[in-house]
Amino acid sequence: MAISEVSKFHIFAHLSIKESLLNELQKLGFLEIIQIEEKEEFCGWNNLDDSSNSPSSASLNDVKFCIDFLSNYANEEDKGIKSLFTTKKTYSYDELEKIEQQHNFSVLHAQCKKLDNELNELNLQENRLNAVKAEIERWQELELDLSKIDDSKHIKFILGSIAKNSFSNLALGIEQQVGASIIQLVGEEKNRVNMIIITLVENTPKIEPLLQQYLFETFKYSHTFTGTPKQILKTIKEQLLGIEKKRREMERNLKKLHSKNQFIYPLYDFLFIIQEKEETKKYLKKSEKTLAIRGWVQNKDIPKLQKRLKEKFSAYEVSFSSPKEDEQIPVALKNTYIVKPFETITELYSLPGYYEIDPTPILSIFYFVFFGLALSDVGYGATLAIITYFALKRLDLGEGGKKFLRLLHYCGLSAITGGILLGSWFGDILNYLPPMFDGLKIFLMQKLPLINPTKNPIPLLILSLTLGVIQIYTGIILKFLDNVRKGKLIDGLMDQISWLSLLTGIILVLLKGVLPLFLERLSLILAYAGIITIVLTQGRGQKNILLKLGGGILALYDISGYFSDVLSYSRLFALGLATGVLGQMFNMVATMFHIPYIGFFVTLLILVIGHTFNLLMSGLGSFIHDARLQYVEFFSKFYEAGGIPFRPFTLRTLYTKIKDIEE
Amino acid sequence: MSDGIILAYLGAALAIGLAGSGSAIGVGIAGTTGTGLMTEDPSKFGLVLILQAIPGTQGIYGLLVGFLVLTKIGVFAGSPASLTVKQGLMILYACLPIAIAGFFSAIYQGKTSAGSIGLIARRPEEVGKAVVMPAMVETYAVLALLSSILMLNGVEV
Repeated sequence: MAISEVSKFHIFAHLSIKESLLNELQKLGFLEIIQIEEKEEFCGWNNLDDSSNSPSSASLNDVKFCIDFLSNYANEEDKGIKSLFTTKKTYSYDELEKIEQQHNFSVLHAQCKKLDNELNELNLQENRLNAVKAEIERWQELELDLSKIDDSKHIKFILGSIAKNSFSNLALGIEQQVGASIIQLVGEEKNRVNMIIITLVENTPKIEPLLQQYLFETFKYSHTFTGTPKQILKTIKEQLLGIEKKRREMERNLKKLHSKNQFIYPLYDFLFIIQEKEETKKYLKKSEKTLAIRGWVQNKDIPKLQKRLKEKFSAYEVSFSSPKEDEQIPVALKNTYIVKPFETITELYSLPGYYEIDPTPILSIFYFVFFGLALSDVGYGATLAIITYFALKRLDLGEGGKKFLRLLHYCGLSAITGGILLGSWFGDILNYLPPMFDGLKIFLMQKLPLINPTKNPIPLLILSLTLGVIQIYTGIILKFLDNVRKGKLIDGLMDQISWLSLLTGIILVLLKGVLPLFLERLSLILAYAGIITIVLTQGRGQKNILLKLGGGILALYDISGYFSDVLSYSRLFALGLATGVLGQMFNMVATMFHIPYIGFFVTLLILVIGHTFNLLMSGLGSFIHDARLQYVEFFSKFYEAGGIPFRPFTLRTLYTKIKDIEE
Repeated sequence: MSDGIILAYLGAALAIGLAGSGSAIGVGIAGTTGTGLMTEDPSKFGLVLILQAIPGTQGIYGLLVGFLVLTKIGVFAGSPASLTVKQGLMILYACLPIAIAGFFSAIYQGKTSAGSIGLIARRPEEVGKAVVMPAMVETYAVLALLSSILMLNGVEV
């Protein structure tokens, strides 16, 4: 259906135009270049491998490093959400090419590396200082020069900490052992105390066993700072301040450096383009004077390719061949502008095989309708539609992002429709309008809607299930058409029409009483015809006659599968009801507060928060469950996935836009 | 106040409380895995958040049923209806499907979501499949919600 037809192209060209030809193909941006297989025709050809003479001196990684490093110092307005709104700069291919010559990247790179090292060094210093600070802070009360503590020949200072309850025991022990020594407490923490023991040097061997016994932790001062702890802390503080100051100055300079060297962004893009080109060269073959390129092109692009080649080159030969069945043919979807956003849903699942059906056009209708039923609120739908409308106008997004936003825009429109149908406007906010709007309220909430689910939910449930039946029928019919298309009419009759007949029969039986009499008779005929065909044909893969019959009877069990498939669509009903009721609940909670003066703002705040939450949760749920219905209930009936996406050789950019590429 | 209304209150409390607890556990399970992934790759925050939010719906369904019960018995209107014990019990039973199935399905959905988060950690291109797996579990919460609403709808007040 809407799978783009592709052809294989073969280009032979003189080696001298190798670079310009590849550049041109990359600019065209719609060819997928593939590996040339070693077959007889290319016997004796070599791989085109000249990655050694890379045309560019700056490496992509170096540029990436500079971007990562400098972009931390972007101006505030270039950061965060605002950056979404800044449009990417546009360059022509020739301008991009010249950027490398116009600017001296190696100088900038060296500068960035140096600054990065310096910053790291600063951080290291800071960490070291902070560690010393933490160590010394415990000794603040000590009035001793820590660096000179071990200088004395006769007196020994022992610093350390000990558990609080062991302190007095230790002090007592030392007094008994050596007599004259000074033991002092210097500050305490949770359950430990810091202490200093001053004693004669010759006494130390006697004290040490005691220290071990009471688990005394000796503090050894091993840093270069001099002075009492208080003085040292002061020095450290000054040094830390110095570091902070230096860092701030560096940051200022880095900001300047960043704004002066914006060229790194387009440079990165250009180098990336070159890298892709170089990588593509691996797929090509060359003889002494000839270059061979092979790949896929969508048929709609063939005239453009021929025209462009004719304009620019003369020493070439191009031919096209249609794909063979056993080849891995890439798949590109081709849909009208309106249906295109729904390709996102198909792609999220998996692309169809090249010879299969593209489900997108039919899926788009179901997806649209189901989403509307699931979110089903005019307020939420309008919010979604308006936000995505402005986002599409203002944001500079890639093609995928645009497609997704357009999908959400459609979803919003569909929810508006659903909301009108169910009479839901931000839940039941219309009920809270002053009485003068009663006419409007009655029109919007009672006259216009077809269903009022909070009063009587059954019609909405029936609608959901009916839509399910329609989608399942569509799936089965699509499979039948697919079988017919592939020349398997008999299979189609046995596998799909039999089920359609049985299912129709069952539905008509269920509707008994509502329908005219002749349909009732018809229903039984249809059901029996279906059952008989299924029992007789579904076991045809088996060899044994008994197994054939058994297989046929077993296939009837699938009926429970269809039943649960239909029931699964009740989620549309549940989601639709949940959105509306949750909205009503927030409205009610918001209007419960009658606080003087600020009451209005409280109400407004609750309304905004509540409805935003509901929109996000219900929107997410609608999106996921809608997709699930397509994937599980709809696709399982006919869809053959497994296509490999068409990946064109093109100018891919991250930071800039390129002017002269083809649309 | 009639006896029946106490039973109806119990029903609403069970629907909101149990389904909500299940969702909290489920969201918690998915969240722990999600934060684990984000330590490796913080850029996946958006996807992780979506997968984490999926088991949250049972709590909303429970709240929905609770709300419908309270509306039905006229709590918000300011004049609670007088219910017989039979009516109260019917309302209580109507709340049970979403209370029970909501509680358990949210937990298992949380586990499936956690698995899906693991899937996108390794294969980010498979978002579509990762999101559908937890949605399979939700089916049963949806069916329970459906039953609760239909049962509730059948109680004459």
